[in-house]
Amino acid sequence: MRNNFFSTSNLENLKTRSLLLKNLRIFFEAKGYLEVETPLLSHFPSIDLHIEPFTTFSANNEEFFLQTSPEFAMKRLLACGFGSIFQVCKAFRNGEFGNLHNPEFTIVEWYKPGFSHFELMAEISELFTKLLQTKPAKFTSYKEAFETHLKINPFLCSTEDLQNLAKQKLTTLPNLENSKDDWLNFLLTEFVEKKLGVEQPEFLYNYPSSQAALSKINGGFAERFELYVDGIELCNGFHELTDAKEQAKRFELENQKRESQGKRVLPKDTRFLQALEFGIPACSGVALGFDRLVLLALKTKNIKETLTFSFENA
Amino acid sequence: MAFISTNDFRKGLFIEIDNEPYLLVENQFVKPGKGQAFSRVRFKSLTTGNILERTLKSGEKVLLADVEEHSMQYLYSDGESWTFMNTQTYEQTGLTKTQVEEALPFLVEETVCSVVFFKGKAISVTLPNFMVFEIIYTEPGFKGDTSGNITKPAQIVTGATIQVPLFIEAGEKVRIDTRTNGSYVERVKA
Repeated sequence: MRNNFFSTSNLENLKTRSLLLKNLRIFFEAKGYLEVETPLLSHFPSIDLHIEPFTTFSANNEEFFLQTSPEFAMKRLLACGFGSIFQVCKAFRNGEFGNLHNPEFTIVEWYKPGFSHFELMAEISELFTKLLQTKPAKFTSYKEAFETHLKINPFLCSTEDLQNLAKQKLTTLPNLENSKDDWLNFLLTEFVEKKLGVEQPEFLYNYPSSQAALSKINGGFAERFELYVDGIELCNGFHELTDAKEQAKRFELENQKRESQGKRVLPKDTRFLQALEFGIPACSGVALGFDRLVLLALKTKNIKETLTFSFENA
Repeated sequence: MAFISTNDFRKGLFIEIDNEPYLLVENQFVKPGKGQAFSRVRFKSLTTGNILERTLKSGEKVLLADVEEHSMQYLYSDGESWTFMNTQTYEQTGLTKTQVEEALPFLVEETVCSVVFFKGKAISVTLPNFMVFEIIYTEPGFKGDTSGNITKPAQIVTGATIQVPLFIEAGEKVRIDTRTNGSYVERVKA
């Protein structure tokens, strides 16, 4: 086909994208962050049950992973004592392609030593009032969101309760077996997400400890948050786990879950674990999907309109 | 029986649900935060036209409809039925609006299409991948347009509007791809 060179975006959209990036950098500079760049290609991937890295091989046949997030490298910089840092970079997630996903996408990620996740959320709220001229964000706990929109307590209910609730609402259900987290995520996706962040940006916080990812667990809750604007998930942040032993355990657990689902067991990032052992400052950090931010600014429905060339067209 | 995974879903697939044929009309990838990915799919019944919405776990499989395809020429429509003829046996078959809906923007008389049969009954039609149309109307483009737009809308004989490069003028013929809503492929010299 001869028209394949066309951009999936247009000039006006790209001007908006460029301006947002400029304003973002102004914001971080004013807040005292240092802009850093870490390798996209690494010896070690992140280990998540539901995230698949792209892999490739060097000239001497050593396996490398395209990063799915700059998290480990940035935490190594925190251990080096470099203070507040931010980064704008590409990240890659194999198989994630849709209206809100492109397998290659742009992440803005930043870390602030000394900040709790609540202080970081307040700073993010300020960023959004500047970038998208939104109202200040509101805060909704994971429990409140389920109670308001589904009339169920996600911490006290059983997997069966969640299945029964889904059955009342839908005639056919996905084949999720007995994973409580999968059912929670399914109900969140189908019935809660689209109602979040409609009037103003909305933080969801205090996640179940089984969904802690790389956050600290405190009082039975994961100190993790997500930000929604117009029903779209934009940020994922943590009061960061700094305990090397606990981190190694979570790697192990995640790999066990991967193995039980027939997925590849991934190598543990030993350099990242060394950094945690050496010690990183107490801090909070967050990743923002920059393409989705542009999508919201443009009020479009498809992420490809924010990209010069989408994955299928790259 | 053949099954297909959500990872291989695309518009235009024929699926069997409860012994009835369905067309996959929309497939949306959704993934909450760090959780399990899903496919939010819309299937259209090729008997009733009803839309069935389902959310499947990524990687879940559904039954592919066991269909046969025959090369048939489109003859005419009375507005309720669209008549196609087998070019070898001269046998004629009618399709309902629900069954031809997706093809209508580019369906013109005498086009040889692929008519899809399920359990002996015609259920749908697939257009040739590439078709040539004359441009009936389009605004004249001009060189040096600095708006950043390199395409403009153009109307073809069926009434459908497609996007063409600025240099295309009314009266010219273009080749389009019917699988991607009629995206422009190239200019066809007379």
